[in-house]
Amino acid sequence: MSTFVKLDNLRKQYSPPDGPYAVGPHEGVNLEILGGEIFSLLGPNGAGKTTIISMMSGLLTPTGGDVTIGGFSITKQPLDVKKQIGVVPQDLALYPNLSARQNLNLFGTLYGLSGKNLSKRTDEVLEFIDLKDRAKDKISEYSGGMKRRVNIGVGLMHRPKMLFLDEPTVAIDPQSRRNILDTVKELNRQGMTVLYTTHYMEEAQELSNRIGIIDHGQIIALGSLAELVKGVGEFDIIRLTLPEPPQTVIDRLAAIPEIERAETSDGEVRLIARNGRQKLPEAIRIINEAGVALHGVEIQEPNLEAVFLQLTGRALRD
Amino acid sequence: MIWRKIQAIAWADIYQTFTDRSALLFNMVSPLAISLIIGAAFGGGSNDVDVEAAKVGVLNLDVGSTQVEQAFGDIYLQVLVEAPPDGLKDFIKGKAITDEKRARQQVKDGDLDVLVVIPENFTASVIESGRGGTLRVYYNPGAGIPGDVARSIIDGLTTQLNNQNIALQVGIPYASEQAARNNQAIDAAVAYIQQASNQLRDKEAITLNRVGVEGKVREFNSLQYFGPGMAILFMTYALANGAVSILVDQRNWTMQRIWTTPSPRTVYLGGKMAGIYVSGIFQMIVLMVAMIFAANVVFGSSVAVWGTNIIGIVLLLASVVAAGSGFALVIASLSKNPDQGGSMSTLVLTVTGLLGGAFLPVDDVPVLGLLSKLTLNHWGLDGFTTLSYEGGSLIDILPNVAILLTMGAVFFSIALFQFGRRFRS
Ligand SMILES: Nc1ncnc2c1ncn2[C@@H]1O[C@H](COP(=O)(O)OP(=O)(O)O)[C@@H](O)[C@H]1O
Ligand SMILES: [Mg+2]
Repeated sequence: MSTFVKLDNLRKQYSPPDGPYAVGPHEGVNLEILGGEIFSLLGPNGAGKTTIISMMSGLLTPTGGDVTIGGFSITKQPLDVKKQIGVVPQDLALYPNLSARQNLNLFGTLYGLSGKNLSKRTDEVLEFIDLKDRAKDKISEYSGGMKRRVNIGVGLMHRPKMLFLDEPTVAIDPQSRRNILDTVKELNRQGMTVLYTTHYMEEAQELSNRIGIIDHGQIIALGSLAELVKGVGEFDIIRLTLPEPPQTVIDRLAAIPEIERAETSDGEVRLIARNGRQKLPEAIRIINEAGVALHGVEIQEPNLEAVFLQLTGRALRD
Repeated sequence: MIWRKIQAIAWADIYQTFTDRSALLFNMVSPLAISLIIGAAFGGGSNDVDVEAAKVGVLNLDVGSTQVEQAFGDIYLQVLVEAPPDGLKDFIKGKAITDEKRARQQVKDGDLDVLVVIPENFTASVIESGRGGTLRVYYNPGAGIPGDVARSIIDGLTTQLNNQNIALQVGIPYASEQAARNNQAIDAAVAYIQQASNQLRDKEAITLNRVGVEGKVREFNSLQYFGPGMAILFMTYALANGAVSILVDQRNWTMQRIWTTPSPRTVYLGGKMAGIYVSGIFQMIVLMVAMIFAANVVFGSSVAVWGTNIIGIVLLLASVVAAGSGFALVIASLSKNPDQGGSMSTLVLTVTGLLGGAFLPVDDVPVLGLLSKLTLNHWGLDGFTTLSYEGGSLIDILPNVAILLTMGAVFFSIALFQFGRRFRS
């Protein structure tokens, strides 16, 4: 696989000169995406995922750096870049009072299709997103999952080489999410390069060839799932269900040797520990001595959540 | 290719506008209903609207006679044109005519209500031959009240000349009352010929040869005012909805999505502007036609709500919608978000509609009359009424068209500049 996308020292400052840097506050973002892979940008809300995708699709002008896609620069040859990419925005970027077919036709025309090509492609896409029988209904009459599918379908009209999906599974039911993940895999199987952003580590874990973890506008870890997890391989996460634990208890837990970090939220204390299992008895002893009720214990295998927690000290989702 | 893309965006816009039932109800049905209700309340030009003075043309060819001091023709000219008695002043606007052919065409066109032609040998025929003279009176049967008034006055004057002292017999009661109270001037004129006409014993000295000229009906109907007023007002409301949809597109990310397609950014705004403009034209046309039909039903006779000058109507339509589109875009471009755009435009457009005279004529109100001139509503409405009941020609509405197009150009430039600024990334 060869490099298809290159982010080169990319930075974005909203409303210069005093505005915040949403991307690259410390140094420009450098990243390569290979042709044919599914690359996920995993990060919490506000990390800068949408800002990066917007710069890559020519919506936002970078404050610094450039993006090259398929050999074309987004700042210098935006139209050439746009012909190769399909963009599926985070919001449902559809006309609610038009039908699925009308939406597909409209955007198909804007992607440069016309006549027979257009109607044929619209049929194909409707088939692919499995909405052929509802094609004439207004988008506003669709379920959330169906809308999401049309949202993806629009980005496929011009058979792009690459698809950007910005958090395509937010706020939908599990079955629709399953459907979308399978769709992304199917597209990739057919040869589509995919950039997928999410704040769900399970999705990144399931889909991606490679993952970039992003926080506060910087990519803080990059690699395949195996590579990322290996970095924190010796660490376990011990989750102790402790409603309202006293600070003294947390401090004592954190002081146990080889416990890297103890943090608490949502009635839970998480310990990141080398050889976590062996530290469990001591942790439970401390809790018992303090007279605090322990409601549950769980030891978690290393995963992206652990990676994020280890890198930032924060949980990925909140 | 670019044109096809612009068309696609415009079409999506138009389609959505005209398939939105509640918007249609508001944009189409309410102006129709409101103008018909006001129209019916004011009535079809029958009584309580200011009756315009009758436009009377007098062509006096009478050379007089050696037997009287003053030619009879001069009496008509004096009473109708040069020095109408106080009581008549309000009802006739006389004009001396030199070109008969042209004057008859003016009657046909509705520019003159009545034309009196006094032949060369008129006095002589009355006084010398004893055969009596004949006046030709051309009138437009559709000229309505002013025409009736003018003819009554001429009838009365003639009768008086015939019968010397009989009070004016004017058909319209208020006209006759007024006239009767002030007919000393006519009496004085009559005195000149009293003596001379004594020779004519039993038969009437002067006959009126009335010639009805079929031509344009110049009839005022309040719908001619409130129809265009309401149509323009609601057209601007609809255009504002269209313009605010740009902000909706920005919020829904459909605009951004269009920007991610391989099309220049101007395609989006161009398509939107085209869609807004065409929707406005379409809405106006539908309303204009609907008002003509509705007026027929309500008033029972055909009302020339928009006049008959098709080219003038088309020019006005094109320019008033251009000004309206531009204005709507300016309001949208200055609004923070769709909600603000919606309430701002309703407020601003209602105020400009009020100032522009959509609800009541304000031309004669001191300050408002001046402010009114700043609104596109005023110039559009003024243009349409010029064409309809004033029977104006193309030249009469060219200033309106020019002003509206200038407004449109200025508004479009401001909106483009504003949108350009806000969409810069
Ligand atoms: N138009 C904007 N103006 C100023 N700040 C913005 C704008 N859009 C996003 N931001 C800020 O940039 C940061 C990154 O946002 P975003 O790229 O949307 O994150 P994500 O997609 O990962 O949730 C956030 O702090 C957000 O508040
Ligand atoms: Mg986002």
